[in-house]
Amino acid sequence: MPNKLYKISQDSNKNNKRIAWVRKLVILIILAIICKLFFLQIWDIDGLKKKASIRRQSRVLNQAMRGDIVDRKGSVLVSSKCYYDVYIDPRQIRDSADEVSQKLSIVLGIPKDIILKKIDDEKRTVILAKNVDMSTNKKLRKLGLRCLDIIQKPGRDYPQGKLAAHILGYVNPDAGIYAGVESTAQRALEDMPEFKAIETSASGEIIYDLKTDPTRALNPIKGKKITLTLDTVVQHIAEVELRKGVEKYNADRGCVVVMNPKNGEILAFALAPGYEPFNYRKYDQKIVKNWALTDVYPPGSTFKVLTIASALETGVINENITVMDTGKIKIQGYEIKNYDYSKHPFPGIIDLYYLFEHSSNVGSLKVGLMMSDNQFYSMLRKFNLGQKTGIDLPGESSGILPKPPWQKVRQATVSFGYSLAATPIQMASAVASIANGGVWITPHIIKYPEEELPLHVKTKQTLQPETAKKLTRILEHSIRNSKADVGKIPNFTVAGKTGTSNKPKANGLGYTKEMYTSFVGFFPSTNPEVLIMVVIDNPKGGNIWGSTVAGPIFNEIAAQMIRIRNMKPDAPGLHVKGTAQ
Amino acid sequence: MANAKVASNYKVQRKPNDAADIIKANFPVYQSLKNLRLANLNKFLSFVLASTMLFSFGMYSFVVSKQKQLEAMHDATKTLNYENLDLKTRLDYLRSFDNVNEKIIAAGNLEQPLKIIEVKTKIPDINVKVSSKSKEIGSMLGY
Repeated sequence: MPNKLYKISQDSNKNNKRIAWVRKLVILIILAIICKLFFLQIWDIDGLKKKASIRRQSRVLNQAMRGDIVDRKGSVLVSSKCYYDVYIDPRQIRDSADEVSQKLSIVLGIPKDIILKKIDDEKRTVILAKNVDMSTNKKLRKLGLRCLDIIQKPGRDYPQGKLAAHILGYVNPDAGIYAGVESTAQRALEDMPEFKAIETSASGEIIYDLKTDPTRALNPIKGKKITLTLDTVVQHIAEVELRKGVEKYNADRGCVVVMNPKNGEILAFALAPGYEPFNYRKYDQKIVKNWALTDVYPPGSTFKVLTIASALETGVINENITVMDTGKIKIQGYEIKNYDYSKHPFPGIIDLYYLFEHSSNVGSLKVGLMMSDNQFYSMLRKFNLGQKTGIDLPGESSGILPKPPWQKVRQATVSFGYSLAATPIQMASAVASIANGGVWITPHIIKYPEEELPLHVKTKQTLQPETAKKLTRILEHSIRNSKADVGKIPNFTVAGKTGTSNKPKANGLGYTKEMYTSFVGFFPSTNPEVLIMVVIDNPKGGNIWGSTVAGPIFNEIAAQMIRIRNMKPDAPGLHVKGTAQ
Repeated sequence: MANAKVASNYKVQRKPNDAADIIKANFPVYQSLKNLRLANLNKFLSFVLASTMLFSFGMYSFVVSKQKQLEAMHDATKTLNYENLDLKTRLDYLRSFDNVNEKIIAAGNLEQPLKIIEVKTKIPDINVKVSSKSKEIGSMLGY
């Protein structure tokens, strides 16, 4: 019995010890928890507060929109606004589907049958309309239909419609497709301004406190604004006149480049036919692409300007050179004729003035052949032919300029703008270098700040200023003495050259009967301010020449530009009807 | 003051309720002064806690209602801003060449007339009677 009592007492002691240990353990755990809480709530409070704040911060609050694109005077060409996609969930329709369709049909302008079909066919959420505007969105919300889901999204708006569509380009962010300035300036357009981050709740609502920036929280966020060198007024004039010309001659397409030869700024870049950038998908890709950059053409007689410039610069000829123009000539078995051979079968000894005035192929090739092929090639490379101009628009072609050695017949044909191909912008920038005293400048469409200009706009000397001056004088005289009206702008001297060339066959072997007509000119020739290049692809009709198709477009644009820019005449009385010249 | 109250409670507690209770040796349990003070402190703390809870609840309701107001204002301002943006783009369109051109074409303002008719006008003889009183105004400064 005493043993038993002793055992009980021993067990009781053991239990007490165990309980004491458990107590100690519990106390330790509690102490550990208290320590942890102390550490979290008091010791490291600032760090944790910061962490929580960062987790709540959001930088993408409102719909981030691309920046605006404006012209040189600040007129908006492209802006951003909100569009709405409307979805419907047929399972959520409480009233009759017929009634809902009727209501939606009135607001969305979609036939009721189409809406009903969509509702009946699909058992899950289906899109009803894309890119509806804000007023339609308001009307839809007023209907109070629970089956509707309206998603806000940023989109582009083109206040000027089709104006400069090929330059501005289009945007399809879902597919990652960008064209025109939208592509080249993408980074800047999407560059959002620096803002202090704002805290949001798990559901995305803003947690307002004294530090919250209301501008950031409430305003639609836009990227940087891009200013172009384009002048909306000049662009409008160029597009209207080009469209008229293309329609008049039922041409396939046409383009006009208006630039300031002194700084390479493009004032207008018009292409016809145009398209609506917002609905670019509805148009053929042939219309949508900027073919003045992507496609090449044989420049024809406009190229004679570069041939003579090269010959003058290399010193193989001087301003007073004369050549024997036989009207036609046979080189390596190929017969080459002047365009007016039937009228002037044997012009005889001609000077450079006659060469340009009558666009003599024989005269031009004879001058061209005076240079070695390497000399000629390197001069043409100086004019940036056979290489991209570096214009700030995507998809530019390098053109085709074969490397020497050239056969004699190739060199002869290159002299009057065949056997090679250039883009209209290449030709415009090459001739602009003559207008700019022999300095070639990268043509550009974005107006860069002074500090960024050297990064994007390169310059190089193509000709000695004297050579450029001489050539300008010759070109001006040829326009002045020509019987055609092309380039004759009242009170202004114009230096320019027409061009008419046959379209090459698709396989590259030989030429078709279809034509390219062109004119490139700058004025006032004494102090050039404007260069205009016009190219019309495949005009139809009887009298198809550079002087009859492209020339009048040049004249009309030039006359209107002089008026709107209030340009000072450099030759009062010149080309004014009824005035002796 | 608090001590006096505690002392009076102590006396009340010491007073026997009934003689029978004494006979039954059923004496009231005397609260110690410490317990009484603790009880009073508890009462006070309970009051403070209840007040704080009430105040917090009131403040919470206030904050929630203001938060809702703020959210409503936030949504309204945001909508207004987007509407403003929409109106700005509309204004840009109205001022655009495209729109002006379309309107002019639609109105035919610049259309040339098909035929220009020259009309000979005959100036009617108008006899204006000159009053004998009216004097001819001679040249003068500022006229």
